[in-house]
Amino acid sequence: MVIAGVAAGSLGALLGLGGGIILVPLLNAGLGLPFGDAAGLSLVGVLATSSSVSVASASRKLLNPRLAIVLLVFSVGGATLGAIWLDALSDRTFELIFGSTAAIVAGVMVARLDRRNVLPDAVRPGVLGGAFLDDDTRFQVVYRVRRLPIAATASVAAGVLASFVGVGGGILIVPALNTWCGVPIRVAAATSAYMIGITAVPGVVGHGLEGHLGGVELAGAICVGVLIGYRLGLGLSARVNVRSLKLLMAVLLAFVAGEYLFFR
Amino acid sequence: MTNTPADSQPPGSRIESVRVVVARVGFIAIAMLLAAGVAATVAGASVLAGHALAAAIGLLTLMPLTGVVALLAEEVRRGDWPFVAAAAVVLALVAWNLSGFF
Repeated sequence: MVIAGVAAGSLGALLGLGGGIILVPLLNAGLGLPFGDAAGLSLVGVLATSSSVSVASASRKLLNPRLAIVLLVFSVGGATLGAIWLDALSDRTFELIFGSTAAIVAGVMVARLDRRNVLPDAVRPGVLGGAFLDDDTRFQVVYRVRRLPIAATASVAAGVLASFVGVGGGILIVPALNTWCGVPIRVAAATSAYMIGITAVPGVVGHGLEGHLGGVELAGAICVGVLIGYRLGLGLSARVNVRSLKLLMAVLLAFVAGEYLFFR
Repeated sequence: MTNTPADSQPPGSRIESVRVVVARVGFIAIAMLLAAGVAATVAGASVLAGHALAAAIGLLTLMPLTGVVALLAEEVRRGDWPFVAAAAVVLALVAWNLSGFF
């Protein structure tokens, strides 16, 4: 359980994901927990990852709080609907939905591996855009948020997915913000990490009401693992460039998609 | 919405500084409660362990909301009402979910 948390925490530090895509298969297939329990416990791990990432990224000004609050309206709304409909679909249906989504996102990430979404300094970022110091180039990166409806749609889907299958929704929000909305991946990851901590709450409550969270010992063990794993991942993240970060994310998503679509 | 350059969005306003401090203090408290829970489990004090771990998870659930509250206060101060409304909707939705739990 702690090792599963370490894996999820490392992933959160590297990619800004909640780690649910690692935790759910490890808890469900690896440790034999029922899918609902794995999903509920995974969301508790997602909360721990989100807290870790949000605290660490605060000093680097990667988080875009205004973009986050706008998208949270959609993701928390979606998560609330997902929590209400938690018992409407079968576990196998949840797995197929998740596997298909992961496969599509992995393909998009590979196809756009070298896009940077960097605008000249003179460009104004607009109401929702921003600027930050890029660790790779040491230059100020200015970005403008485009196609907000796509980000909003991805946020609703991420919220529903969070409640249904126990992932934080970062696998949808990060690629959507980076690929279609012009947000640099480090900002997308930090903003997503902040969002998923709040988006996970309706799912945690929903799974708790369904009796999926079990004893606090299991959830506590996952949280301890996540905090340890996050520190490990943070040390590694400084040595990983943006292209590698995207490639790692795509490989991970392809692996998870294959597992859920063909090997269950 | 006010057209504010985003590089001045998270800037060192007092509320933002408070939010960062609260997040860090909360994170340390969560880590200490988890450590206490693990130590109590190892020592065989299962009741104490249960309380410590439950408190850690409860705090973990509530911590992200402090950021939304801070943002709400910041946008009220700026008078940027669309963002105030967005933050209020998020808090109302989360509160409605949590009310089902208690």
